[in-house]
Amino acid sequence: MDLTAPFYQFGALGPGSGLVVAVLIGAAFGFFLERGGLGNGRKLASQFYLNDLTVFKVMFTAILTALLGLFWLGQVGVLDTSLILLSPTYLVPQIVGGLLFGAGFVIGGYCPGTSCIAVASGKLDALAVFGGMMAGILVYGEVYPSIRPFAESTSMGRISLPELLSVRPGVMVAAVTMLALGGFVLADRIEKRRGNRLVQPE
Amino acid sequence: MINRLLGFTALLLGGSALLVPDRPAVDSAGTPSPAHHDLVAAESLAARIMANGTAGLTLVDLRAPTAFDSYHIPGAVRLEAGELGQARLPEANTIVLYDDAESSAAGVWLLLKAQGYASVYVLSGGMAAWKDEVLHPALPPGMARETEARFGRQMELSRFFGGSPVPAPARRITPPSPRPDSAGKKKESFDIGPGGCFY
Amino acid sequence: MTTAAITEVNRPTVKTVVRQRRTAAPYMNPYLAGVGVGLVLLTAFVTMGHGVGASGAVVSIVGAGVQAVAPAHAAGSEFFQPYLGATPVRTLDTWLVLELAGIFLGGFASAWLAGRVKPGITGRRIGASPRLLNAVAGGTIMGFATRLARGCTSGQGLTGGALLNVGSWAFMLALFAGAYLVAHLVRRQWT
Repeated sequence: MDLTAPFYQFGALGPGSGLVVAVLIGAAFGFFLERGGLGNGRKLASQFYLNDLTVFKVMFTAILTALLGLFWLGQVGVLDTSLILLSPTYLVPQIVGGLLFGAGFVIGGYCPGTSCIAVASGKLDALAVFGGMMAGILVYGEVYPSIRPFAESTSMGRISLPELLSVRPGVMVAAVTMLALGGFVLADRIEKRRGNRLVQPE
Repeated sequence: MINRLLGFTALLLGGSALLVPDRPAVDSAGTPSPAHHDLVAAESLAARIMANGTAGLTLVDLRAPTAFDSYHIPGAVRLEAGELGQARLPEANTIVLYDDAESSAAGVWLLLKAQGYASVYVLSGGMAAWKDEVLHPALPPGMARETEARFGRQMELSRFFGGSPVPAPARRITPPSPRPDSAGKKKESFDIGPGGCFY
Repeated sequence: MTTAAITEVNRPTVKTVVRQRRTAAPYMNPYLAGVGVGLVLLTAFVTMGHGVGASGAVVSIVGAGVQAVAPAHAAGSEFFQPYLGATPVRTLDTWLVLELAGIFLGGFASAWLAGRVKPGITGRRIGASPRLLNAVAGGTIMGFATRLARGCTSGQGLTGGALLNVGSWAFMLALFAGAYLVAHLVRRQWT
């Protein structure tokens, strides 16, 4: 069937065109992140002072959109979701990684993708974050042999939430939808109560 | 208001997901799976024959006599759809039907079920799948690492049935060494770093 | 809404098309931007079979750097070795690196069209040097953390979030927890 996706796995896209797709997808990704204000360090950080919850809104709208798209494309048989790469879970290292990442995020002001966008709009501090990130990865690479036992601990394999909780995928999709919509209503309310101190472009 | 509109769309799509039953609409091969007959994958049928022979199995080849003479699954009997009325198949056996693809086997499956045979299966993808997956297996490009482990098993099956596996590119079989990058050839996009890490 | 007035002033003509608009345009509705990001992510799933990422590309960039400076050390590194190609340039020739280049270009295009390309330092109210020091420190912690977590806000947060990946949701919850815990230490920088 010609229509079946992912196209790359079914050979409809050669390795060369896969790389063209990479640039196009990256460009569209960067474009929408910047449109939403995620290239602005103050806007990103304001998320963590509850003044401007744009980061939460953009992220969870994106997750919800892709989640619903994946689910329904899989249901109508256009997309074979079993062929989509699911990263393996290493629970404790990922939780520790998340805590450190959050700390680094609020201190530095950008996450990896958004630092790139801020560099593109001329922000020197974003360049410093990007440089620091390279240093951090270099350090990790150098100490990797000694932290490897921890980094590979609590391995759970490739596992999704519906599998973990043994519920139907549809139930999980509905639950995440409700959670996200509830979160959006709450986020709008928090912003309003704090006087709509949204970060504007400079 | 655009926010309301988006919210209601999400509510509709997310809420109706609740009504979707467990069974996915596509099988792992990406083709819509017909719900009206039971399928057996070529690889699992091969594994079963390799382990236990055809004991307890009746393999029914529904293809033309010439095709049957040139090759058939070892132990299969040839029957034409029209002969099935007279043919007495061992009722206690598991019956596996196969065709070139899968087309006419589904009808025969229904017929046998109607005659009261308890355990009847159709070879998924028919002889074409048997040839591709058992006799001449090859690694499709861009597949995950789990496939590599399975591939050793597939070669074993292929040799057992006298087929010839299409060897996977050398870089997939050789243990990891500096990433072999033959000149001019683009790298796979599924290169995975330490600990199964793509992102 | 002031958008209409602004567009009126900067109505694109042949001359102004390439010139950045003078006043910065307001940001897009976050939910619409989110739908845009989500559709891009979905496109990645449908075309490639994997999502988008950012920090994975930085690993290839760092790996290529190490390979260029100390090839033997890179080849012997347990961590970088799997990422290496035959040459540093080949090491950079990956889907994620090209995608990151795309993020840069797309981000620039959007910022330029909206008049938001402005050289400067964000959060410099604590002084330029302390701010840059914080940026390097935060970046270093974050870079280290991405490898422990096997991804960042893109590869784990968005991609794994949409796939309902267990590790990704754990990462995301921990990320917000970590950030809220530390936020008060750097409050002066941002508020």
